Amino acid sequence: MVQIHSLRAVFTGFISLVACLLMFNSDKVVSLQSTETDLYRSPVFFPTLALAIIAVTGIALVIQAFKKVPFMLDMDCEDSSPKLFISASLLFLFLFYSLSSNWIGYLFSTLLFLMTAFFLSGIRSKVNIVLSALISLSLYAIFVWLLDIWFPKPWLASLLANSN
Amino acid sequence: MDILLNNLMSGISEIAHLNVILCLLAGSTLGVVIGAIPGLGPAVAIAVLLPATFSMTPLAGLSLLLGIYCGAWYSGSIPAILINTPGTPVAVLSTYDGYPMARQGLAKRALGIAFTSSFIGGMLSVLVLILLAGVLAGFAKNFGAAEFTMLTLFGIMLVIISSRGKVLATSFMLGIGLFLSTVGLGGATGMPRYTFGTTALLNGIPLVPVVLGIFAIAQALILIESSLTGAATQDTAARKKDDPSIGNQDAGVNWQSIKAVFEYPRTLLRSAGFGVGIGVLPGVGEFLAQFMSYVTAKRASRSPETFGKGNPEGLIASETANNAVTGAALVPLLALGIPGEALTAMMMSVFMVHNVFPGPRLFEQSPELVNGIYVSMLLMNIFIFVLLLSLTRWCSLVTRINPKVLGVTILALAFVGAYSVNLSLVDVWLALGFGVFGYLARRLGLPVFPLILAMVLGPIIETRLRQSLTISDGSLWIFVERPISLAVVSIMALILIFIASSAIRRKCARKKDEAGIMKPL
Repeated sequence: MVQIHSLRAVFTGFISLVACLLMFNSDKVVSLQSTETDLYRSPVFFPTLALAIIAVTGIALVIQAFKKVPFMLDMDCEDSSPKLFISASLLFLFLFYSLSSNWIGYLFSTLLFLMTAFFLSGIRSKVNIVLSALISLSLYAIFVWLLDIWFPKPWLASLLANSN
Repeated sequence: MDILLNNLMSGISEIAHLNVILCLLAGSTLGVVIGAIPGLGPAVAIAVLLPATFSMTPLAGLSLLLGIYCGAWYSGSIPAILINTPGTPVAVLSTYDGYPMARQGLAKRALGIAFTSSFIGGMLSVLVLILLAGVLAGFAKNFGAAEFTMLTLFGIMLVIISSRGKVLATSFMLGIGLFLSTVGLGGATGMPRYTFGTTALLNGIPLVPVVLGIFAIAQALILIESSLTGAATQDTAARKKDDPSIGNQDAGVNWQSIKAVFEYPRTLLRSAGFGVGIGVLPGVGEFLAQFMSYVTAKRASRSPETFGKGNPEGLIASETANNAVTGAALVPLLALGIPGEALTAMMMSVFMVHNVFPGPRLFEQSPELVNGIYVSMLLMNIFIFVLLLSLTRWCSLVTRINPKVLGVTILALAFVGAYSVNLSLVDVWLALGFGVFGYLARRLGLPVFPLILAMVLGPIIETRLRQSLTISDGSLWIFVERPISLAVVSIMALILIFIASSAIRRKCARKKDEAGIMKPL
């Protein structure tokens, strides 16, 4: 629990710091070309209020974390412990999936993503291949054929076509 | 009465289109399946399906999402009763009496009682929606910018107050949501704000990738982690072995149990009253309704000692109250254009995409849509009830789906969901970024629902606040000069005074207790 308190302090403290930086540099990140002099007409009026809420509550949360004030996790998080390596791997895989859909097309990138993600999650038998194939085909049928969602032509396919 | 019947007739003609009916049936069925899967919940399903609804008519899209919303609330009780694990968080109290009933060999009876109570709660809440939304919208025609500003702030205040023990964290996340809503071209000047020179952010941060990231991607990671920890799988396996009601015919419905619900008419009506009354208030939600209903039913019961040990009255109280919230929660959205919680906030984007703006004018400009929503909600309650009575045995099988398979499939769905909004990978990367944020926030005990609510309420507050201050030339007196706004301000002040005084009283009592303990020493 000590670790989670420190992480909470770092997380909220970082966001609070970013909010403070944005608040005090509003003139640099927002185009203030308006001639309006009234504060409430300024484009930074409302964002500044929101940033102030983030900054103040963020600092208060950091203090709470240092004082180790107990807090409640939601039910799903309480029932399991974080597996950061798996989660980080899946997030990187998701990023790679989004990039690879341009290279090899939606169907094959989905198939590869599912197979790798199932493998990382511990499903490593033939079930992995069968499930991946079934899910990727179903998703392709629903989104590409039924809902007519357009995906870019695979870059690799056009490269191969050009070489021929 | 004539007006009511006319409204219903007009709603029936609106709903009598194949696409709307199909969406209603598909949404309700999907909602039932999703509600029965512990750990998934309607938020993930709505997040994933939200982009698909943008290409539908508003009524078809809303019927699909409302079907998921209502269906999940009904079927959350299935795993709560059968395996002591609520399918949706709101079904927590149903485990108190539902699971002990199942352990006593009364699973059929418990399921029948839960479904019937949910049905009665759901139908009563739709009736309240029909009767109240129009009246409130008519009253809201007199509202100006000051009234809307105060009402929205009132909603935000209720969200903060109701998050007992998480007031700071909720305010923090609300602040982030409010700030995110200001990114892009905006303000009175229409100047780019916090876009850092990127054209992709000029139109603001779209809601769908944020919702997908925070709900779908984060939840998928947590599901996979829970299955790897072994908590979910071991738990379910142990219960499968332990509980004779899973996977056999005992999971069907006992028709006598439907009658049993009517043996407790007071509990039924009181719980529906709690659900509807609390559901209408923005931001307070079903947890408080269910908790108050359960506690009151226990106090009023002739055998309070049996609560938590398989008393059907406890199950009736919790299930009626949480389903009575569904229709009532739409009252502030339709009548005032103010969503009360994250799920209705997501539904608001379906209206926005079609240039339909919820609020008092909706009842004048698109009465047929409003009537269609009423009839759609009535029909889906009937359909879900019949579906659950006939297919409960199969629904219980859904609780056995491997969380790893679910988690990975949700990730694949999140990708295509985020991409399909603007056919842009930027939205996918935004979803990924918010997925990381949502995962960390949830793991660190920060509630994510307020962020979505604030992202939707942000533009309403900003516009109305600026309008009010422009009218009053910058004076804050405008909020107390107008009678309705003054009434809202007074209610807010009274609530704050009440909370502060009870906190002081509690502190004094604690000090007295400590002094009492110290004396003998």
